[in-house]
Amino acid sequence: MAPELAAGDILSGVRREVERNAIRARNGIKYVAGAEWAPIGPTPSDTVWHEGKVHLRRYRRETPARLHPPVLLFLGLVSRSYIFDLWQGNSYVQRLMDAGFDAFVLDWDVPDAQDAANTMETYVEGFLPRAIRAVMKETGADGVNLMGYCMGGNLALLGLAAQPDLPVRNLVTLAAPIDYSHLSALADPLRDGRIKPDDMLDETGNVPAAVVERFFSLRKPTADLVQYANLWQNLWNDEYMEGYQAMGRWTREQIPFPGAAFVEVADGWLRGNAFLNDTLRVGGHAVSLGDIHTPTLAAIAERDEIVPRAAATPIADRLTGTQVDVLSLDAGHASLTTGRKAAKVTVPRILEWLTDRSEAVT
Amino acid sequence: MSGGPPLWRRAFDKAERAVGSPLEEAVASRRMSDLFTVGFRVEGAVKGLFERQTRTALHFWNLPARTDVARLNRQVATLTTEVRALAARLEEERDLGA
Repeated sequence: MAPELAAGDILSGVRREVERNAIRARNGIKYVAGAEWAPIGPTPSDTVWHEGKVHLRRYRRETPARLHPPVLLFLGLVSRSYIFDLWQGNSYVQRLMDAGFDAFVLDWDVPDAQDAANTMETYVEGFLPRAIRAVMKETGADGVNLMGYCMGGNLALLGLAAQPDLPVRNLVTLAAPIDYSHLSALADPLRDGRIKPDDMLDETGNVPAAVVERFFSLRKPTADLVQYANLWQNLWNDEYMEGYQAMGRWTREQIPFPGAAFVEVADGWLRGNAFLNDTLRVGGHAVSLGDIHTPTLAAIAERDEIVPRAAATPIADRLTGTQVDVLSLDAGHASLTTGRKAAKVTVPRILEWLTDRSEAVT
Repeated sequence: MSGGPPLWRRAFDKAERAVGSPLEEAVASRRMSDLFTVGFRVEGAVKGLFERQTRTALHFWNLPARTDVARLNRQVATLTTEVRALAARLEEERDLGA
């Protein structure tokens, strides 16, 4: 027999729905009019170093740092780096600062024609070591904790393989792909040489942002429809709208991929599976992941559809010269750094590892 | 009132998975990757044909074609990289000397 509903329950349910519909209407008008629930990069920061468009942001702490050395984070050459400071109450850099660290983000910014000739050497033997020195100069530290997300992890690994004596105390890679054969089948035409990487460059010498965006959106053809359904269902909820807008904007705002770097990634990393096969090259010379002697935490997302588990797990076997701790987390690609899951589970565990290997500031 | 998503959402999710899952599998298939490759090559061939036709006309009027702009951009990019590397080396030398 169906449970009886008290008249009070029915009335409060109806009242709730009426209120929600009113808020839904209000928020719907605001959304269409372009209102902002989630301003980009809410945590105050200052640019403390730059070279060309690449710049280093230091996030402002309210109290002095309690832990040393400072943390330097970066993405790869895909997507905007404000993922690390996505919206109020959901900021990775804020969580690092709450844990006691000084937080810096190395932002590659949006490349244009002038960046088309940037190679991996430009990034990992040019910008990266100079940014590390800038962090050390800013803070007086004798090294940094390095954190690379996704392709940022690959850049960090490449940089350390090429320069094992970089002053990096600890390395954290977040969902960094090692075995590129497990990445999306959409990359197959590049992987097997049916499409040449040079053919994907436009007149600026870069891979257009629209091509990058299409690659990600084609993986899930009905994703836009699902997002609209999510929006309608939760339009009454201002807290949801904040996250929805912030995440949606970040997902849509793709950036061009510097041409010379793209050719290296396509030929070496994708076709040659260089991270797995230990055939990496920087500036024309061979480098080996086995030369890395920095203690490393590899955070892997079990439900990652962009960098599947099988693509990320070989890292421990490749870094033969150092201790590698693998942290497998019940998370997706984005929830390693953002969202409720990140706040409650993934970020605390990553911070616990980093805190154990850092020292208190005296 | 029962918990969980509303009825319309449950219906939507069911319909979306019925369509979305096969679409995702199709996109990840070899046949789709062949189609993308063919489409990409056709697009490239059409663009190339159009550019060749228009290049002559643009050059007649002493105007740059897309390929001219691309060549210039490449040169600027290479120069930028070299200048940046020189500037960085100069700064390192200055820091060492200081």
